[in-house]
Amino acid sequence: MDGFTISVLSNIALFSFLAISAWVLLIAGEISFGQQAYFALGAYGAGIATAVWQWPFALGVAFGIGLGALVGGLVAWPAVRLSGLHYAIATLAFAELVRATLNVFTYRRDVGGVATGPDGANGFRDIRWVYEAGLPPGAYLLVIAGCLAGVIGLVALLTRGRFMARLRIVGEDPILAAMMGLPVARTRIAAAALAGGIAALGGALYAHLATYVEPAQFSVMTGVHALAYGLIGGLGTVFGPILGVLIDIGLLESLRIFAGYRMVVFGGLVAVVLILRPRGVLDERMMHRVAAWLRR
Amino acid sequence: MAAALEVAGLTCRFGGVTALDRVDLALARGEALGLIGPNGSGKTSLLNVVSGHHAPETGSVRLGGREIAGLPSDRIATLGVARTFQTPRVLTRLTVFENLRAARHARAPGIEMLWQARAARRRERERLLSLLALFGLEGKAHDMPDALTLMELRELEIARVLAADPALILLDEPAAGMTEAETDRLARTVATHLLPGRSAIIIEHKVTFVTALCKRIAVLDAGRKIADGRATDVLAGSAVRQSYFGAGTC
Amino acid sequence: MIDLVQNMLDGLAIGSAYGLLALGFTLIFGVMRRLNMAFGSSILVGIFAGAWLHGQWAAGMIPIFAATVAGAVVASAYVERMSFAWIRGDAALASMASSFAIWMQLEELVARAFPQRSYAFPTFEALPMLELGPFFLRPEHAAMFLTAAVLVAALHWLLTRTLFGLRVRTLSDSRDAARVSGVDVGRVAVLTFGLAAAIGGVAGFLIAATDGQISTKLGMWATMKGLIAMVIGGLGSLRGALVGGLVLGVVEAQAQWYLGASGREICTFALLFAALILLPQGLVGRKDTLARAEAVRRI
Repeated sequence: MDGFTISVLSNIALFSFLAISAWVLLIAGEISFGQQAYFALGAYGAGIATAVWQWPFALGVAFGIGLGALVGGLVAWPAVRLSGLHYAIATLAFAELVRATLNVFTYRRDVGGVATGPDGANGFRDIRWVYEAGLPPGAYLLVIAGCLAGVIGLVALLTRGRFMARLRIVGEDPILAAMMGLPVARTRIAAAALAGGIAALGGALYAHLATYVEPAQFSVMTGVHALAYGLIGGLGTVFGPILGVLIDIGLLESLRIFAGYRMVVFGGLVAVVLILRPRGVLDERMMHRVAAWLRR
Repeated sequence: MAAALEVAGLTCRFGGVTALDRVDLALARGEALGLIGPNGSGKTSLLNVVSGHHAPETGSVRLGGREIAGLPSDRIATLGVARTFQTPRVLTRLTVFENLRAARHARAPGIEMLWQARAARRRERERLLSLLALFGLEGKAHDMPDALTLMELRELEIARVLAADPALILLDEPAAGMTEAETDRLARTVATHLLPGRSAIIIEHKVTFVTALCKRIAVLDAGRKIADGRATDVLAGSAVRQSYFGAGTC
Repeated sequence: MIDLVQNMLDGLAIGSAYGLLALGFTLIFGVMRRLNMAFGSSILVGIFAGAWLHGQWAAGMIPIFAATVAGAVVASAYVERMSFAWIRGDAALASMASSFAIWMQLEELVARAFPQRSYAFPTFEALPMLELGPFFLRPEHAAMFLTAAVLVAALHWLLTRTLFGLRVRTLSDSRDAARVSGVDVGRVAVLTFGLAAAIGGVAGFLIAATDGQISTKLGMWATMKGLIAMVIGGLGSLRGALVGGLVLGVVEAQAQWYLGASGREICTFALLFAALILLPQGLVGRKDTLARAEAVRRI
């Protein structure tokens, strides 16, 4: 594979984490414009762990995931009691708060004679674990793909168990869900923690690929893209958000005919899909039809 | 032994409207109570309070001796209360089977959030399909609910109540919008499958439906209980005729 | 002490512009029960129309003002069709997401048409600085105050004294009630959208004329300020929008002075987040608007 293909595939996989994260909350009936905050927390958390504290990679990534899941749950805890609209704005506010805080967050330590760590708006350089380990980009792409497969597998597991079904019930009709004994708030908090962890995993992997992150990368625009992927790809299956990423990054960004107008095309596409299919291409109905076809 | 349900001095206001005014009501174990009264008399409000959708202003609700007034509805549901709604309320994005399975989610052990053993899965599936078979719905198990008729939607709701296996059942106008033949069929199903071994409150305007299922009837009018007793006595009472059927209509 | 009061004065001035942005949001939320996240980018289109007129022909203030408002209204009409009129009635959050998508579109279109980093916008330079004892009031700020006051009075009159206002209020109260009493819901919604865009255009013009230069960042900026002001004041309350705008303006001015630009940013979003959690009905909002916002959860 040439470098361009590897970088496109890496991007697709990394954005898929963010898109799946937003999708989990959409399933639970919450719209979040702020999953980029957990992506950032994962990137910074794991980056600090490996670059500053010199932890091994896997432990650093685990730390990032834990941070994302913990903060995701903590933020959701007061927020899930709000209306859907308030919740959406609260996620936006929290994400911008994280970005603004990272803009002033400085934590520099001397590592082998070099000051390493986040330096406010100047960003966080030298997250070099992967390069020092001598992993070629192709091999690291496999690591990313393996993690993505792990997330898809986790969602499949939760779908086979009762967790995803509970999310869907709470998402569609919280009142009925409560009447059937499901704790609506707790289910949504769990969803937010899961979503935070998934986004943070993506962020941790991204930081080690790019070796450099800065607060400006985690803007609202990133979060809105993540949300839009699920909405156009479809809410019926975990492959919906991935389809969305494929359409945007795989098709629009990589094909040069759309150069400079990618957001115009993508924005229009999202708007048109939302008019025609408010729950995306691979929505519940479509997946049900697929399942019926498979059963035959 | 404590009564199945004991409501005392229950008052509930929405804005300026008093939906329930010091209502007392007791229900013995295994008893089915018919709750009648004109529209807006507070029948559904009573179900909403008992099932935890609304918190009462004052008064107590005891379920098997345990105070439940003001508890969130998911807690009350797990204590063994299940209900149906005036307009059938089903999950339109899940299949009929998954709608039924939804009633089991809260009662399953926590580990099943992640993993349900093959045998347990098969047992659950067979049990739920047999519940659907009671209503002849097993062929539609994998359809979406919008393929169901009104009658079938109500049957799905009742199957869902059965799947939850509650101690107390609250039915809110289960026969509304049904033909006479459908009403009879529903009454038979409720009598054979739902009521045995359970307590129930049944709201219904169709008096024949209520008398077929309940020996006892209580009447609400403007938020107050105006009558409570044997079905025949209550229906013969003049106050009930006045408020329920309106003066001069019968 | 003098700083504190001077900051307050500056904050109230910029806050009245925020209040206007929030009013636009609130009007749309009132009749649609949905948030228009493309509101700021409609204003962006208007401002750049004005800047183009300024750069191309060095036009006077009045034609530039007219172009700004007209541009905002036209862009808003596009948003109304794509993200609101054509989206299914019960899919409120889909509208919100869709308007975000349109925001991406409009912003990139403007960025393509105006590739420079920033463009000049005419200012009120000719007017003198106003002195009030030890305090100063910039003429642009005085214009913001005055315009906001006049617009709010006019809007109040429109909503309480005219048939159109009655229809808007009925629709805000209950869509069903409006429909059965014969209100043409679609038409009122379109007109309200236009009205909100015009108010936003005025606010955008004032803000651009204060800064003297504009960039494509202004769209997102306007959306966020209007949104924050509206939420602080209380969703769906016109009075709340104004109060929220003024509070936001003052908090920002003080934070900027004492904590610097990044401190201001943190303060703004911390204030918004805290307001949402602790006071979801807003400073002057009513409880029942919460119930309405709840209805929005379905996608």
